[in-house]
Amino acid sequence: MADQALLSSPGKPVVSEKDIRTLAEVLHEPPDVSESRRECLSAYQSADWPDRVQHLWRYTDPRRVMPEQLKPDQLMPSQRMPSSASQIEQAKDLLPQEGPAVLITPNMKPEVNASAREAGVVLESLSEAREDLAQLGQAVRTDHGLFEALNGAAWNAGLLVKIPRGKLLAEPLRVLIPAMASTNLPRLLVVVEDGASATVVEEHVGGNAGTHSIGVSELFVGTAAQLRHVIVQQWGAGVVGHLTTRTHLERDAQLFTVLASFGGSVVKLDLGAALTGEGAQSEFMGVALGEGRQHFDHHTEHRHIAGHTWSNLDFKVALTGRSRSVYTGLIRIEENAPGSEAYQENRNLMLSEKCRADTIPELEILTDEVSCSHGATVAPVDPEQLFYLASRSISGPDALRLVVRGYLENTLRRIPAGLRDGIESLVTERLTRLVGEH
Amino acid sequence: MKWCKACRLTELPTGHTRPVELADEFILLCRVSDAEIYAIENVCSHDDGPLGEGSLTGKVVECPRHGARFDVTNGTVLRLPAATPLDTFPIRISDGWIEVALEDV
Repeated sequence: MADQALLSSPGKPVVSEKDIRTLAEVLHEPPDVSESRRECLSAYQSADWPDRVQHLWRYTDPRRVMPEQLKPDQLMPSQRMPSSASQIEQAKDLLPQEGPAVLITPNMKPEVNASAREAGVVLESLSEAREDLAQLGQAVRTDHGLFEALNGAAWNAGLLVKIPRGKLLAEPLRVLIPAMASTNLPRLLVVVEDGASATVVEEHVGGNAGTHSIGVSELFVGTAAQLRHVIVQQWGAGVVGHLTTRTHLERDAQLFTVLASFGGSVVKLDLGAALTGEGAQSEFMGVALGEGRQHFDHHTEHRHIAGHTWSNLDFKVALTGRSRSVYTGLIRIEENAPGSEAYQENRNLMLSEKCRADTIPELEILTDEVSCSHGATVAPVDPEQLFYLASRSISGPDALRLVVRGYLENTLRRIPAGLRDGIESLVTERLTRLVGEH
Repeated sequence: MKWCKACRLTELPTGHTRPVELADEFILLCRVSDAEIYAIENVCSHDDGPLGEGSLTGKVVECPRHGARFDVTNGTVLRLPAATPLDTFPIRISDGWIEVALEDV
C-alpha cells in the first residue's frame, strides 16, 4: 500500500449497462444469462453502501473491500493479465489429493479427467454452458447485498459443475480460482443432483497488494445427495477479498463444509447454508490463522427452513501480530422447522498482545421443539500449558506450536479422512510461519 | 519504525480531526491547538466505532457509537463502555506534511 492514502467516502464504482452488454457480447452469452446480469446491475445501481450499524458490516468498512473504480477494460476478459504460471502451479500442489483441477479464468476451457467424464460430470464455462442455468442467481439472489449484486452483474469468469443424478464421484473436483487481475469477479455454480455425491475443493489463490476479488459461489444439493465443500482461502499478501457462498439442501441432503482461511489483507467471507428439505444436514468445520495486520471478517449462516434438520458448526481462529478477526454466526430456525437441531461454536486463541477477536454468535428461533446451543471464547494461551511443556523440555515456538495444534485438533479430526491430510498440511505450514514469527 | 506522510498541515485546522489509512492502520489525526497534533487509533476499542465520526473536545475524542471517550495524547480511556486504551503514534511535521511513525509488523 502506498505510504499516503487519505480516507474519504467514495461512491460505488460505476458499472454501466453498456459495460455489461459489452461483457455479455464478448462472452457470447445466452440471453437468459444476460437478463440475469441486467437484474443484478439494476440492484447494484440502486443499492446503498451496507449499513455499518448492522453487525454484518459493523467491524469492516465496506468501502475498504470495494475497488475504488471499475473501468470497462477491467471487466473484459480479453484485457486481463495472464496468470502467473508459477503461482498457479504452486497452488495446485497445496492439496495432495489427485483429481481434476479446474481453473476459473476468463478464457478457460474446462477439462475433466477420464473418471469424471465417465461419471458424466459436467464442467462448463458459465458463459458458454449448454446446460440449463435456471439455478444461477437462485441461492445468492440479486437483493442479497451490494457485493453480490456487483458480482451478479459483472462476473467475468464462471464455472458450472454438475454431478448427474445418482453418480458417486470418488475423486475431489478441484476448482482453482486465481486472483489474476486487479479486480476479479469469479462465479461458481455447483449442482449435485438427487442421490449424487461429490467433493468440490474451491481454492482462492494469488494476487498481491492492489488486488480485489469479489466472488460468489452457489451450490445446490439435491434430495439425498451429498456434497463435501472445501474452501481454501490463500490469497496473496495485500489482497482484498470478498466471497459469498450459499448452499441449498433438499430433503435428506448432506453438506460438509471445510474452511481454511489464511491469506489476504482484508478478507470478508459470508458462508451459508439453507436447509430447505426435511432431514437435511449441514456440518461446518473452519480454521482461520491470521498474522501481521490481516483483517478477517467471517460470517456463517445456517437457516433451518424445513423441520427435522440438523446443523453443526465449529470455527477456530488463532491470531498473531496485530491481526484481527471478526466472526458473526447466525442460526435461524424458521416457524415451520420444528424438531430441528443446531449447534455453533467459535473459539479464538490470541497469540500476541496486539491481536484482537470479536465473536457474535446469534440464535433466531421462531418455533418450539428445537434443540440449539452456541458458544464462543476468546483467550490467550494458558501459561500453565506452556509451563507443563517446559517441564518436559519443550519450550519456545515448539511448545506454542503444540498448544495451538492441540487447540485445533478437535476440529481437524472431524474432517473426513480423504480431505484431512491436505488440510492438516496446510495448517501445519501456516502454523510454522505464524509461530515462528511470534 | 517508518515515517509515513499522512496529510498536509494546512489540511488539518485547529480543533478538527482527520482520518487517514496508512499501511493498513486506521489513524485519527487530532489538532488540539495550533502547535499540538496527535495521532491515535481511529477504531474504538469497545465496538470498532470510527472515532473520526465522533467529536473532538479539547484533548478528548468521543466515539459516535456508544460515547466512549479517549485522551488523544496517550490513548487512555476516559469513559466507559471502552475499557482498553488505544495506541497512539509519534508524529512530526516535515516540509509542510504531517508524518506518522509506524512500527514495522
